[in-house]
Amino acid sequence: MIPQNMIELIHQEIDGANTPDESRQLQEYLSQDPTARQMYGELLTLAGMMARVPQAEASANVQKIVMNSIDPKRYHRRKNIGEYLYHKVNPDPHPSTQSKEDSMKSKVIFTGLGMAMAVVIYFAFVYPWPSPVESGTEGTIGAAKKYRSEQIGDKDVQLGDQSGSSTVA
Amino acid sequence: MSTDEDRELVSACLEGEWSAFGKIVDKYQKPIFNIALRITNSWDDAQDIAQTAFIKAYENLGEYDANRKLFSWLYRIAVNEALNFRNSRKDFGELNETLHSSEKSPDETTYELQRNQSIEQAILQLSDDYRVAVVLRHFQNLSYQEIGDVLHIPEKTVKSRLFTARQLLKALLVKADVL
Repeated sequence: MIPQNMIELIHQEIDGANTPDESRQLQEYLSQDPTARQMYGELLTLAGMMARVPQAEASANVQKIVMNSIDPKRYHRRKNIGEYLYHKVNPDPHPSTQSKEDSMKSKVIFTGLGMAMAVVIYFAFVYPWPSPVESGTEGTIGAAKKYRSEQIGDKDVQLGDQSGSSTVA
Repeated sequence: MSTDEDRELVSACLEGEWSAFGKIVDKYQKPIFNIALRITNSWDDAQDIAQTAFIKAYENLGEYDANRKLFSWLYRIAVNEALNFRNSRKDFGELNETLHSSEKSPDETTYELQRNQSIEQAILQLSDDYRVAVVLRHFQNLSYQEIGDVLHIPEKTVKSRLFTARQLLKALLVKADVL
């Protein structure tokens, strides 16, 4: 009966995972136990046989099929404004097709920004806004006054034809 | 397998450089295909699984943790795909236990071919957990830690599965008169 710790050392030895001390300990044990020695020999042969099984070559089509199946624009990253300005200041010395596209985009963006600024300047300084102070047009804002009228009293109420009532009585 | 190179390739993909993923596929298609082949035992199915695994990897590349090794992540996807495929086939009783790829290579003698087929047949008789451990250790040369990373299991569990799997394989091959 091989002790469990020795069985583990046998397997680890086959996998090259033993420390030098563990290897030495195992070799000492193997020299005394022929059953353990046989087990070690068989497992070592098994590992050698598996190592000799050739690796299969994948078809050359795998890459082609994969690349045709995936979306090339899935990870197309949008540059933030900081990066955008950085690249404007430090242009790529070797512009590619992509940077030409970026250049076109930047022209459109800059044109748009320029037009927006021109509109703002025009309305801020050139457009003839009405003068803020013109007589009769000033307005004031204050607390609204509560309208109070005099209350109607009994003396203000006169019923018509009061003489008639005395006739009935 | 250079981790730095892999990180650069992944980073380039995420930056929109689509062609960088082609380099990843080129680099890992052989091991991914072989993992799928050893698990499913079918050349055509392994091909499909490898393609699906890469497509899924690309679609989920944003979720890849750059602190992990890329191959661990890819192998995990491939192993899961292969096991799911295998289980779905089992449900329909369509699993073909004959390796379609067992063609004799120029370097293989008849004896070697028979021996390799015996090993393949013995591996097929292992349960999924044991089979995957053997495939990753003996056909991809991963360490215990790397296998643990791929399968998301502790190193101790890796050893336990691997040691048991080897004992079972040994018994099967002794019985088949190969060992």
